[in-house]
Amino acid sequence: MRPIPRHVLVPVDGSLHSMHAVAYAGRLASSVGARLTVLYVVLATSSEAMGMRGLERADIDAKLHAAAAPVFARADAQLDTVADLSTHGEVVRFGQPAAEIITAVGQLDVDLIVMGSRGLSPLKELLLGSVSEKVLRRAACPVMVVR
Amino acid sequence: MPSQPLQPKPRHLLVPFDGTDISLAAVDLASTLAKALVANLTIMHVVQDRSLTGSSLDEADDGLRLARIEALARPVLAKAFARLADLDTGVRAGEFIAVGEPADEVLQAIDDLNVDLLVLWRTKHSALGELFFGSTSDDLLDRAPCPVVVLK
Repeated sequence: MRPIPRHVLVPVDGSLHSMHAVAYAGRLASSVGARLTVLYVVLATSSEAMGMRGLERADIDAKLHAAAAPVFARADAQLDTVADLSTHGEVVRFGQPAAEIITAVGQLDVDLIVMGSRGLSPLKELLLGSVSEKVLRRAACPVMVVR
Repeated sequence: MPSQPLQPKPRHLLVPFDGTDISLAAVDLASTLAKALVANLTIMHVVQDRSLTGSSLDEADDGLRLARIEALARPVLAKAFARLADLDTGVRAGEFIAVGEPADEVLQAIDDLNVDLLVLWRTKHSALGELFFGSTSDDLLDRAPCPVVVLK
């Protein structure tokens, strides 16, 4: 384990909790001098995904980025207010959120995940959302849960 | 957009410590984060001996009880502070000893010490003698009022 995080990943789903996580992750990354990447996963079950059947790869990518754009715009607004955060990356994936987050950790060489305690899940009684719970169980790196 | 203002950076980190290897790794993470964030760090040990909780009207009894708590906690905390010295980050941590059920005591300490980042860990298996296995971690993740970072 590298004790000081060099690359922080913050998965977002557009929820208020995830936007708080972006703000928190931005400040943390800036404080420790780490890179920050915002990840949005277009759900395999979403309407955007349904419309992608049979499309060319480039068209699928364009649709994924179009689906992610409003969420990234909100994340950008959060990060604009963070001093000393030079740039941040934005990555969009398609599939099951927890699985895509776990995969991204390995591919992007992430050493800290910062995420909201719960996202858009309608199960209000669960304090820790199911995606956060899965990521906590399966991620190879430390996971920070922000509420 | 969130209606609340941006959350500030963590100012006071708390890391519960039980002497296991993974809890030593948590001290590593907590101290490097505390250094980078210029935050305070407190290392906490919870003595889980129910017979040592509460207080007695007899002052001599109370003295013995506190001595017993110290005798149990000191060697464990010494391990954490030795690690901190080895890391040589220059971070000076405070220590905190509590007696009781770990999750409850950690929550109380968060409140008492104004902790705004809790550093925890999760083990895959709860070996005998490990005080902070999965259920304590899960419990704290659900109940902690502050952000929690979980080491694997």
